[in-house]
Amino acid sequence: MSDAAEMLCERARKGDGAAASELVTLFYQRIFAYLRRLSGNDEDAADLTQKTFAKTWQSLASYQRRSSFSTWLHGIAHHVYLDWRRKRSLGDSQSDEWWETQAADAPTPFENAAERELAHQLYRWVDELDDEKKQAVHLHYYQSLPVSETAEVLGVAVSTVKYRLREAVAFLRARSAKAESRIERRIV
Amino acid sequence: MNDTMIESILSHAPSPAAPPELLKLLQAGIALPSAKPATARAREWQNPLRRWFPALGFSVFLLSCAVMIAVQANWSSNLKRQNETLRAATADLPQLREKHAAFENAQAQRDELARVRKDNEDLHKLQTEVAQLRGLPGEIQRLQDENRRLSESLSAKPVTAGGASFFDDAQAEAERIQCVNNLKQLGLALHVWAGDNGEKYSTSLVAMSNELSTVKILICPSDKARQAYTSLSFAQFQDNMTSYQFIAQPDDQQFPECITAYCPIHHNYLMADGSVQQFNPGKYREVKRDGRLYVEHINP
Repeated sequence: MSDAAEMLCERARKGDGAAASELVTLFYQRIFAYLRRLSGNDEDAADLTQKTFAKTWQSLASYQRRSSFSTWLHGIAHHVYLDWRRKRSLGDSQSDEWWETQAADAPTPFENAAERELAHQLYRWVDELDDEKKQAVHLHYYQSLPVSETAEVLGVAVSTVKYRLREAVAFLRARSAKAESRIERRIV
Repeated sequence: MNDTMIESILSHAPSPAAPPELLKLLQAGIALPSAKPATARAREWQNPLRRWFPALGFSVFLLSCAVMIAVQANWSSNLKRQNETLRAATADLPQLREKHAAFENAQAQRDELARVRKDNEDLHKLQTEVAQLRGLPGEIQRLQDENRRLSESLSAKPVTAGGASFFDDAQAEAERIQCVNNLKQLGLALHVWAGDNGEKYSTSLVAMSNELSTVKILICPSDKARQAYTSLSFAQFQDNMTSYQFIAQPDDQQFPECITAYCPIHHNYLMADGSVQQFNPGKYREVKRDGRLYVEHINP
């Protein structure tokens, strides 16, 4: 997809609208999903997605190909989200119900209801992480960006991203251990 | 739950689906920057100034630097030439210094000479003045003798009676005028007092002391026997201490020509209307009518 995206991007830079349309088709779902998880509702996510692509077209001429188009696009989406959040002064906006709804609709690798419940719980704990770690988790795990691209999007060193991911996983492990011990005590 | 499991769960997080109309909106919102046609780009490069601007700019900069260096080199060589000229001009500086010192010495000697000449002139003037002053003691002696002679002649001459009479007359006239003035003030006091007391004159001087400024106006300056009373206050003063004959009666205001007071020394009369007149005793006489005193001409 990366090579195809680069080619489409090159065509779009030359003013090819069809190529730009194809780029939108390729990436809009991922960008929407990223912004939807962060913003907390469909309307804001749609607005932010439109802003992200509008900025993409504006900045297309300055795209230097130092990173992949996907990384560049995620970088724009990340900054659009930060601007929006700064203007609205929002805290964590994700709700538990949303995760449950999403988990019920989406196909999951989890076999039983207990595992699904555990996954819901895990996603909720991710929202409790501080912003830097949460962003790293969203980009690396949810958006499936490699660590190097995640670091590029966030504008930090690769080691920093690794550290943040490690800290986030440790936090989630600690939370899950605490929850399991509570369940065991209840059963006993 | 281990880390692998956590990472697996996170990697399989649900991906929310975008609204169906979002794709159309995004595609409609595509606004690509208009790419410049190749011909236009070529036309831009045809502008030689634009194309050669960096090279021209650098050349101009180099040229200006060269001009500045040339100007500075010229300036420097001029300064060097001037410096050499000045060095050549100052080669005989020690000799000039010696000449200057000799000139200053000569000037100082000339000033000294002028000062000595001036002192000499002053000395001559002083000698002339001394010669003039030597004749003065004789003159002083002569003036002293004359002065002595005049003083002796003055002391030998008796003072004439006419001189003393002149001063006495002036003194007497001044006292008479002062007496008239006293009586006028007395008349004014009588009128003021009457104004406050039903238009009736006071028959006592002490009673109307509030209208009199001082005791002095009740004593005639020619009445030497009573001058001691002038230092009294009204509290100590009595009607019989006055120099004047005070004969005012309460109804005198209706008889303006009658006498209310008079000075027996100067024959100054204060009339009931407030006027003061002086009558010559040789031509006028006092007469009493209805208990009031009048003055009338002896030969009407």
